[in-house]
Amino acid sequence: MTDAELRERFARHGYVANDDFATGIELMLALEKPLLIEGPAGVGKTESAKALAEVLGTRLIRLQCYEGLDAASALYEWNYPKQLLRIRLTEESGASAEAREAEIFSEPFLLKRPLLEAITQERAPVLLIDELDRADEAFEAFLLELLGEFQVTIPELGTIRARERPAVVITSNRTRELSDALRRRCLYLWLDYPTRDEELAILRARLPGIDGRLAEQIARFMEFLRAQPFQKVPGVAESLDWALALMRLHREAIDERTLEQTTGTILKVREDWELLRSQRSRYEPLLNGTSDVADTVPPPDYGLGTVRAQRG
Amino acid sequence: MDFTESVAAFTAELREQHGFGAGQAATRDALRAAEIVGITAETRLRSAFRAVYCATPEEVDRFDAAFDAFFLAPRGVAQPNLRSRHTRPEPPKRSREEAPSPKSQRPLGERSDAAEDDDQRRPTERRPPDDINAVAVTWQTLRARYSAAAARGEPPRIDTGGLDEMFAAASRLVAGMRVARSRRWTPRRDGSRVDLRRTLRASVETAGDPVDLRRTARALRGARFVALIDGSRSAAEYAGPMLQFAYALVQRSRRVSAFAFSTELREVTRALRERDRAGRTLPELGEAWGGGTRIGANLATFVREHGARLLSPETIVLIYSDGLDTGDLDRLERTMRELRARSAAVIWLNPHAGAPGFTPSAGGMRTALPFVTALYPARDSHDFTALARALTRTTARRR
Repeated sequence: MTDAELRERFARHGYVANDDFATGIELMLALEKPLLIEGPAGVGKTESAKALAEVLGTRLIRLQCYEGLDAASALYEWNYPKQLLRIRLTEESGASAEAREAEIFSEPFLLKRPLLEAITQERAPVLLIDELDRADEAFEAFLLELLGEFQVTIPELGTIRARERPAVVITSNRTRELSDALRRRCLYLWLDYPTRDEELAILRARLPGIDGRLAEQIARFMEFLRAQPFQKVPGVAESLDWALALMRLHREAIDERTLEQTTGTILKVREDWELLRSQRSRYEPLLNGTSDVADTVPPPDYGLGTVRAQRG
Repeated sequence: MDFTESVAAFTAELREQHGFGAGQAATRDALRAAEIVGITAETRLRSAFRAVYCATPEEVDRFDAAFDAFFLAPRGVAQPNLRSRHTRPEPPKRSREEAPSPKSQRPLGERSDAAEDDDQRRPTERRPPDDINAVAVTWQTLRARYSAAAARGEPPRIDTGGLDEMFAAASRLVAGMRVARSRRWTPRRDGSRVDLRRTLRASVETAGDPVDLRRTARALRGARFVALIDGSRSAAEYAGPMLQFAYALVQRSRRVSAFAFSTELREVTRALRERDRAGRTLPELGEAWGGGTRIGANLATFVREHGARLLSPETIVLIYSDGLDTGDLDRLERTMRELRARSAAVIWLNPHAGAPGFTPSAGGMRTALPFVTALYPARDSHDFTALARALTRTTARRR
């Protein structure tokens, strides 16, 4: 698949792929190397893997990493209660010890976790290892080994080798530095916040019913917001939420009142609200004049202080 | 030179001139990538090479300039058919929220190897003054320290003297600080959960009857450390031991991040992670070393840009500073309050704290003090050994 085809297919699944992304995916498939995606929170790292699975028409197997994730919960585990039960049930069966042992250490007693699942598929799936930085170094080392060979040795069953190498996407939010060894094994992609045009394309792709002018205004406003030193810079998810909220509220343009009512969809920290308010003179040109809806709607309070004024 | 050789030379240049970790495997992948995307479309080749050669956001920042300099500048080498867009390298775009990589901000005119040359020539502070280089350096240091015009100083050096004690102290601190329970299960006799895998294994001896229950418990987890090192003119003079300690900490644990600040803040973790950094200077730090002191502003930058990623109830923040803040003290107070609320402890290391008759009277120090868990001296390795001992003792007692 060339990158033009790839981009076209991603677009059909509602994912806007830029040059770097399309090239990265193309190389990852051709070189059979894992793709490590880093970038700020909320730029669609996880979403990209989901879109890739749809584009390739294959299964997405996701391993969400968390602190304390170990090989047993990522790879496989024997179903011990079932094994114990089976031992009791077959106690009187008269079968030989070997036969009984072979029985309880066979596939029906094996609980496949995502990594084993991914290498035992008939058709190469997309394996998403999400937020690897949350797992600890020991797990990273284990993963490195697995990604090198794509085979797993289970003492009781023997070695299982991947029938089809899965396409591996690893994401990280950089709460911890990943090891150099892992980085070198992967292709690297830095996914940044979208540019204004990309944002516009994303809005149109994900919300086909959106008004063109509103989408344009949102994209321009997001560009302004991302340049501000917020504690939590709004990502793509936020701009989509915002657009959806505006559509639900039947607003065709953003004005001061609408912005106030919907700030909660884009900024999630109180200090950021205050910062936005203090920047009013800078964003005002991006807004429309006060709409006539304003007067009919009571002032919002969000529990932040206008309550007393209303009571008094 | 054909294209294969060009790519190999590019790999070597990235490795030697730009500090990339790329090797032969990268050359091989780059050639295969070039086969796939073709070498006629510059942007595609650039994207492809970026994916292959880069492994960190810092490398992504430096990559474009290196690519331009190598493939687009005329240099009498057989070039792939690339459209020459720039006649000279463009400085990389700064779009990341990360601390800027040291090399990317170097002015274009400067030779890129100037810093490395300095490494070899620059003598240690203790050299006898008859050495002509030492005199020059002293003069430069003096100028950096006292002239208001010289905003940026020489990048600091990690001395090797007393490093062993620093490593011992860092090891002790990393191993001894246990601030939270991990979610990982480890075998433990008085654990709360039965470990079925090991119980079943053990039951082999008793004919399959699980007589002896094996148990597991949540493991204890080590702390995460953040070192913020004041490199302003007044504090940089005594910062040597703190830098050594930060280097030792970074070498001992992956959950350590280090920053230098003066007029600006800059992350130095990756530079300190290089094993052979001892005895060498850090890369150019620009406004983050040898300038004025804006503690409040820099700590605020840290909280805003790196807080979400590095601050947690198990983070121990080590601030090295003499507290002589020339900036906004209100801001320092607000930021210190937030730092304290979002971390396990804030340890302030003041180079003067050990001196007889010391009182925390400097403006910044006085403002910060209510939010500081403990104030320690940081003059030499003994201070740091004592610090590690005191901190690990505190957590041991709490348990």
